[in-house]
Amino acid sequence: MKREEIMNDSMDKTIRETLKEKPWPKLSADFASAVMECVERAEQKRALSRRAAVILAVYWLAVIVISGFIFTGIKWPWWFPVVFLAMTPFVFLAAAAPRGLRRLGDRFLRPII
Amino acid sequence: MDDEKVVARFLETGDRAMFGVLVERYQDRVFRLVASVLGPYSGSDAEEVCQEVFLRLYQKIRQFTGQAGFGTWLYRIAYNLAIDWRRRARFRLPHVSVEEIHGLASSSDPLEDVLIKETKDLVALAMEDLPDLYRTALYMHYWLERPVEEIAELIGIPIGTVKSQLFRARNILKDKLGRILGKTEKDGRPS
Repeated sequence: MKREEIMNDSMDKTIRETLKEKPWPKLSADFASAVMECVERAEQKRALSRRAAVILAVYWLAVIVISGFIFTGIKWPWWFPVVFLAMTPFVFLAAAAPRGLRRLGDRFLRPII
Repeated sequence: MDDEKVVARFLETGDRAMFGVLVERYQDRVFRLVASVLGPYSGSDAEEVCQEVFLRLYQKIRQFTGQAGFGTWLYRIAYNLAIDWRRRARFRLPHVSVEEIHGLASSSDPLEDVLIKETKDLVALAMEDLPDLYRTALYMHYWLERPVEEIAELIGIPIGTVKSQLFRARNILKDKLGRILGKTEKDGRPS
């Protein structure tokens, strides 16, 4: 296909000539089962996020209730709010850990396995 | 069992085998649609996008109201997702500027096979630059060699519109290539 041919021939031929060497994409034979696996993983992920959401909700509820008690004058030991504040990052980590670990596994272990 | 019944059964029982039926039934057509949206030059993997489409279907299947056919609804999801992937992939691929295209057209290598390759690259670049719908119809017709009826079904437009889109796409390509090659000749370089 020369350049002058592009101008003279129909575009039909030019396009066909250009695309004819490009191989057709093929869907692998086990595509459906791969999708079903993916769906199952997504379901597990959803269950994990639901659990994480429950952990966080319980924690924040406790924070709100206890700070309410503190501000309304009920006497609590001094270390109580300190412990809660100190726990905050760990609660977030615990909530995020299953998802993070799964992602790390997907990223590094799946290509090996 | 028709699609709507399979969907209803899946929603009722949560039986994944029912979802599997839908995947088996639509995987080839969704794959062809995704592959033609991405095109032969895209860096994205059509199978990966296709998997993402079915995953999205699984998450959204409760939103299927049955107003349009199930196939039409699924193809719409697939088309939109593939277009998103294509746009993201475009930013990952090296950008080719207009100057480079002109440079490509005007390089004066005497070897004919190099010229032929350059010309094909030019046509490919011009095709990649077409509007989304035109390009998808074009690839589906010329690359995957699908009949116009199937293209109409997958893109969700009438057969007449597909034909006119193919016609317009060819005209746009001809104009574009004419301009690029014309400019090359005007620069006084041999083609």
